[in-house]
Amino acid sequence: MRVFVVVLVTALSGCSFVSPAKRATLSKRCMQFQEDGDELVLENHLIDSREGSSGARGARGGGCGCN
Amino acid sequence: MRLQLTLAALLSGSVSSAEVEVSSKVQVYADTGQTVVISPHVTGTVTLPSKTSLSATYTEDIVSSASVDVRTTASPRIFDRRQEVDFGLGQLVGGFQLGASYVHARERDYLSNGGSFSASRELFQKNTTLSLRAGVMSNLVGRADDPLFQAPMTDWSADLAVTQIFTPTTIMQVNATVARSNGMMASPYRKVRVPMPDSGAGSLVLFMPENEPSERLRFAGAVGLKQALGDVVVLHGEYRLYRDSWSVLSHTVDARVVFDLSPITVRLRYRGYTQSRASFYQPAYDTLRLYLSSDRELSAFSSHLFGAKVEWQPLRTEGAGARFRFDVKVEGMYFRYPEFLRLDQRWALITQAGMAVDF
Repeated sequence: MRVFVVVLVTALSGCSFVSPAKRATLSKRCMQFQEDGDELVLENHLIDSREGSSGARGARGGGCGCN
Repeated sequence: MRLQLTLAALLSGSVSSAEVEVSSKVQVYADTGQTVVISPHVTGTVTLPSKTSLSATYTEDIVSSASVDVRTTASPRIFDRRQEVDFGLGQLVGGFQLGASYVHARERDYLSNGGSFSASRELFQKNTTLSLRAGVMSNLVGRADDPLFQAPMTDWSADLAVTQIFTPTTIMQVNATVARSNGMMASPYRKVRVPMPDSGAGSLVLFMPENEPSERLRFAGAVGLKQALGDVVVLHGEYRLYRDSWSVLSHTVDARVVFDLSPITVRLRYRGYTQSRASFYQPAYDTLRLYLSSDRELSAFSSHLFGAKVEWQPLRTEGAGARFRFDVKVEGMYFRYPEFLRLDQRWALITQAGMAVDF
């Protein structure tokens, strides 16, 4: 957790503002982190039930999926 | 009657100027462990001019399995079905995007009800987005062959996400999750083989029900970076670190290359995963212990995923009003279990097809 706080503070302290006029590339769908919410939900449920870890991945669902 | 007409007029006026998105996918998972899961999924979202959004999602898992877990319970094959509904409500209030959701999932031997609250805020001229989420899921674990068996299990979780724009072509996201689970986390079906030392009457082998600690604290943190190279190529890299109170430590890397060949987008992907075993897990137990597990997901193992996804988003035609998107994904997954004696490896094929329309 300490590592992530350091990464976060370093990242925020070194950034400069990007004006809205220069965000054409950033506004592309493929530049979004959760560009396909449906895919994320299905994948998280599939992977959470097949690995011993979870979290820091976005969406959550219910049920055990333990097959 | 007048009130009904007024309400109908207001609603139809709101809906006619609302944004509506409907999307659906079908995913098929098939592995060499003789498990097939077909998962249809559909979502509808309406965003009103008042910046209020309403969403509803339905997901189903249709399962057919003759996996090693199923066969050890003396069943040749099981068929099961999981249904899940999610409802979400979002509202923009004074610069904060607030959200609430409710989820209900049920299967023959498992019932889940949960909810979450979330808030996000854009800062520094929208260069930084901070998101928080807290949720709880209440589960009731059952056993298909025993209607009297019921064991509760509750999950509490909190997530933090910070998204930061660095340059016109670089964006980063940091995620952190803290979660706590309490209750029945062992399988009510699996048995653990425990040979007893010389008991005087020859070799004696006990098949004990799994027993795992009733509490688990989980911590996960991830950092992801997206970098556009020109107008066509986007690189995406992600690393996740996970640690829990059962001594499971895992590392995940996810690398993607996206080719934006508008209106077609092609994504190539590799995901690597490795984890250590839980403190109480043993490939073979030589004596009775308080905690016993034969869950391969608690053993040390690794997995590798390779895949490709193609998305086609035709340009919106003048006057058509609706925008469509279609996608197809094929991924292969390989699991290696060096500490699980009954299955040392498994291959899986994941295929997915989807479409979305917004108008």
